[in-house]
Amino acid sequence: MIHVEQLTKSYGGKTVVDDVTFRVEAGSVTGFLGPNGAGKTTTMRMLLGLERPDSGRALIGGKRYAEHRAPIREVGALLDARAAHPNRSARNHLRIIARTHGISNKRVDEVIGLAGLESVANKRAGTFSLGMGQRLGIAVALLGDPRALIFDEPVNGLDPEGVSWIRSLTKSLAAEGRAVLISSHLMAEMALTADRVIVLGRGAILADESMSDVVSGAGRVRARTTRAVELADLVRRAGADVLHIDASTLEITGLTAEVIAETARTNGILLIELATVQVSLEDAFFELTHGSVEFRQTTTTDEDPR
Amino acid sequence: MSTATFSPDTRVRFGGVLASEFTKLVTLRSIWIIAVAMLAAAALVAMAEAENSTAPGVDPLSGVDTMLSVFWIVRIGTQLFVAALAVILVTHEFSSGTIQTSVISVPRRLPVLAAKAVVVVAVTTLLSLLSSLVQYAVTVPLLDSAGRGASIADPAILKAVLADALYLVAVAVFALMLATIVRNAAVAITLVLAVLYGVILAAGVLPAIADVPGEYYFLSYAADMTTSALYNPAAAADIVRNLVVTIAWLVVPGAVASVLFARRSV
Repeated sequence: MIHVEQLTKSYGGKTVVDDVTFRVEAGSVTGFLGPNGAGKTTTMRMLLGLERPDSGRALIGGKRYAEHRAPIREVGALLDARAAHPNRSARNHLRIIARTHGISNKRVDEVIGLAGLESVANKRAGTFSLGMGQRLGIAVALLGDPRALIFDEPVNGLDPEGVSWIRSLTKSLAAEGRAVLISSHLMAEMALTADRVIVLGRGAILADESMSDVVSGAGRVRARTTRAVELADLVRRAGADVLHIDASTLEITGLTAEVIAETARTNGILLIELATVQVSLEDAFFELTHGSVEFRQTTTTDEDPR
Repeated sequence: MSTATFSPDTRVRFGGVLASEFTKLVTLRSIWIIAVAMLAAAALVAMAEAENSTAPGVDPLSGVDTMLSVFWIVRIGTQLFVAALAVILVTHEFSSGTIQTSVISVPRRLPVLAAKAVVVVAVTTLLSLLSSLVQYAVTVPLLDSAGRGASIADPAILKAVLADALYLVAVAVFALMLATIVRNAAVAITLVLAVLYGVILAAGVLPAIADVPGEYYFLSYAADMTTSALYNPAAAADIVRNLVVTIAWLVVPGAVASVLFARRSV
């Protein structure tokens, strides 16, 4: 549905999106992760034609976004929750967008209901909290009942009920066969929402895999045995990397649990424990993006200047 | 997620973009304030001018000539209001960030600018006609009391009303394109002021170009002379040059604005 191919963008000699290629398939939620300045928003903006790529292309349903006759029927986007005139009501903001495609006021009222904005639909957008602004942005994205959705940090400013609403909304949108691309800094939330994860760092793709692969600890298996040194030698010879956690525990990378179990059985080694290591999405994210963080805080100490 | 039905022919149409731009205009409070202020200013300036021209000791003009004089003075005074209206119609989108939703809805972009231009032309024409009516309504009682009536059906007055509308439309379209280029209300209004009223400062200061005084190349002079030629034969002397200069003031910024609007990141 969404197809990004060798997309590259530079500003003033600095490459912010570097030869990025990925696909977002219909019927799935794809998490778009990366530290600040990784190029996520720029990539999304290029998808929607707000920025011109230096090279490469971004296609939605096989066409550039601008080539669609009814663009908001193809893609609904939330990029900036504050992109509404402060003196206009939410209803008028939605009507202005609906008019461009000849979409009825009935549909405007419907998305107001879907976003839970009925009680504030006639209030000025300038009086909205960030969370209500996000809901208005979601209503805009849903207006054309689109086949794909692009959400940039949609849970920013939302209360727990709102976060839960976004989670169930994105899952139900994907279940209806739509492609959903969603960026967020909330790893725990993404772990619950996304089926697939694309991780960007310094403009380049660091990972593009299913959520289950990401949290499976990159193929790490923990084995506990009374003959740890012997087992380590055997699996090393089979091509695995081994980390000794303690005298009886190994963390093995490069072999499946089945192969390790078979190796132990063949050599008469008793396994007390054998388990695939699960890591949190946050741990996996930090591991992937280590070295790709654009802005990192420095630690300061309160030293006496005297 | 949806219970709404969409026509299979749902798509971006210029009529829809126009309706969207019109909705933007009528839902901006500042536009209404400017419109009311313009009509109030027109009434006040017209009354002041009519009082002056009917005061004892002033060479009496005919009722029609007094009315034409009132129209011209008010036109020069109120052109800033239509310029501000046009500037705000564009720059509010950049200051509020709604330009992003506008170009996501209409990614080919140029229909948005074209629709803004159509809305500005329509609203300026309407405001100009309303302003003329207001001026007529406040001036005629003063003229009648001085024994110098003027009928609104007089051909010279009707032509002056049309001339005012055309002049203000030219100013508004120029302001719209300039605002699209600079994307900032304060900068755009400053530049429009410089172009519209700079002619006064430039008079006799700028060197002649092709034996024509420099100030004659200002939009305000050229457009004023071009439109005044409708009811004033004396203004028609250099109609071709003035028309070309006026068109250039509209076409060049229009072309630059179109290219930038279509290509720039928003």
